[in-house]
Amino acid sequence: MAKDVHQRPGRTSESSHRRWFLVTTALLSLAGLAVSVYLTLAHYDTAVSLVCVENSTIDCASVTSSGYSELLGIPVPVLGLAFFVGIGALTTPWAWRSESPLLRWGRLGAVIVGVLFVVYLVSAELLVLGKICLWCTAVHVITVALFGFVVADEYRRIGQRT
Amino acid sequence: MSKNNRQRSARERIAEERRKEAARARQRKLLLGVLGGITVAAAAVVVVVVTQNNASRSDQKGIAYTGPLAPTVRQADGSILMAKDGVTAPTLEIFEDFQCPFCKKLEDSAGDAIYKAAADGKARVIFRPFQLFQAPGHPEPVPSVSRRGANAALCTPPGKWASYAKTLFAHQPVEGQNGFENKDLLNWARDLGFYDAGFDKCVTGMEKAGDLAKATQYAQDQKVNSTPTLRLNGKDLTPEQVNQILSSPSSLEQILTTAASAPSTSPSPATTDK
Repeated sequence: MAKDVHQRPGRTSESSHRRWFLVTTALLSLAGLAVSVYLTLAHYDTAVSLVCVENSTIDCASVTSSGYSELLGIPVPVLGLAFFVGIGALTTPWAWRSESPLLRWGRLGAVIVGVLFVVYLVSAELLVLGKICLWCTAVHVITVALFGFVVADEYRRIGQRT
Repeated sequence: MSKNNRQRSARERIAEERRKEAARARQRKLLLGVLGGITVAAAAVVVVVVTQNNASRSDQKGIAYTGPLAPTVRQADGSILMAKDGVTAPTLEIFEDFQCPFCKKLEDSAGDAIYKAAADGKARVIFRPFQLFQAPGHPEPVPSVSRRGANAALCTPPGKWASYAKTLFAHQPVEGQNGFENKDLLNWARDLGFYDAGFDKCVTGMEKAGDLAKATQYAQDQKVNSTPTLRLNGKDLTPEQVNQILSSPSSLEQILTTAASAPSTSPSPATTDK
């Protein structure tokens, strides 16, 4: 039936990572890292006034100041930052080309944990707080996209293995 | 010879087919494992979030403040004055709304330091609860929660103010959710040992609604449009000072000491009753 397209015996995955794939995943990791840095700075920036204001419209502050802004005492933006530093390293072209099981399992495990954490945060936002923080949502979308790319990559790899 | 070749290529084709089939099976297993596992785990996470939230709402208890406390009286306008005998300055006024998350932060991090400062005679402290969160700027139930919390606080005997305020902030509903239900407000008074028929009537009948409206009007007249507003000798502390107190409560003492040693240039009309 569909004979072909992927039939490249003898070629390693090294040559089959398309440029757009490497660029897109690297850019996603960088964007996630950038937003996490911003949220972390906002978390620690004492110049930001911690007050409630009359007639304030709904915004990030009520989410980022809620009880869900920390997990086991660690601020969520810091967890996000750690995640994107890790996933950033695991989505460099070098890491993608490696066949090391450690890197592959690490990458798959990281995005699975990431997606579950997104589920936790989004359910807290929607079901408990009733509010959404836009910057946080950007991070969530990036995490889910990276999850898609990593799973697609693993799907392709194990389809190629002989 | 050519028959052998044909047989070999047939065997190779079969082997190739098997390899492909095995690869497809692995791919199916991967998708099923990852996506199925994630779906199950995600459902579990959602259930945990919801049940934890419900559990944390049902077993709320009154929280007693047991630290040092200055003599506490309720002033004619409903505000609470904490001052050691003979202490007349500096005056620290705290405008707060029990639904305000940052007021909760202030109570959580610096509440005890503030009560202690009053007990040690470092300052006269006046608590001015009011309703910052009003309709239509804030959709229900936020304004109602804010009103019920402030009304109950105004019903509380002055000697129990610190404990009851601490309790209200500890059980502050997440903004947008219902809370400070009469049943809870009364139970906390029972926990703290001051429940009586008068308090019950005051809470359920919203008897302090008039005082609360006046306090809110007063805050508006004083141009207090955010909470917590900390006013020292009639002058608002800067956001930096408030943040400093939030992150390190010991800085409060320093701020009060500086204010005490500086000549009080603007005795505020805000510090007088009514």
